[in-house]
Amino acid sequence: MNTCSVCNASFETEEGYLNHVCTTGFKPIDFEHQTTLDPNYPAISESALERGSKK
Amino acid sequence: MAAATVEICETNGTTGSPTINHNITNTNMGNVESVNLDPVVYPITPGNRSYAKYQRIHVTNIGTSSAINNLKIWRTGALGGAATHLTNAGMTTDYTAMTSFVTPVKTAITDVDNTMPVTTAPATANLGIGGDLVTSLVAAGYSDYLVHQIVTDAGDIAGSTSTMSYQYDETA
Repeated sequence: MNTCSVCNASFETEEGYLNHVCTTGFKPIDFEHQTTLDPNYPAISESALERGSKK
Repeated sequence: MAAATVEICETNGTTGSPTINHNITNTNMGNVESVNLDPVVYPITPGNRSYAKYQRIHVTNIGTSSAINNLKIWRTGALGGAATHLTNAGMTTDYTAMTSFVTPVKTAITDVDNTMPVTTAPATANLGIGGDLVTSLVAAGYSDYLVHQIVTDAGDIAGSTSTMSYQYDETA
């Protein structure tokens, strides 16, 4: 079972979870989904990319 | 360029009937096996352990990036009383990969015996992918399980609030 902690919807398969349109208006596979939930997410992502580029 | 989309998931339930709770918003530890638990309702009994948490970093979409790796886990903030925070996460030989979910317990777990790093990120990766600390995710997928547990002392009378950090590097 896969449950979305944002909208509490449950799905038999992970694919079902990944492709549902959440209360954010986006799917969990969409970058906008995370940026809607957490305004810090773009900065978190940029930091991750910066660390990756240094390696 | 499209950056990867990443979330934290917690698995609950039993070995034969797990539920993956995606995109969790907290990692409250307590005396019940549940995601997003209320620690006031389910406090750890002094002298006992919390139920272990089984959590993973989940890349839901790799975007145009080529790799996610170098996973680092740590905590910021003191624990209540003489409590300790144990985990399977660890650098180099301290790491014990847990790639399968088992029913969480509130007793000691073999190899969940490293002290959670505190305040600053560990120098090198301490959570693996595919069973080791050097593999990368190159498509959507999961890290190994981060298993962690609070161990209280019989004299502990108060809990605490602290912050868990889950860090990854992303290569464009």
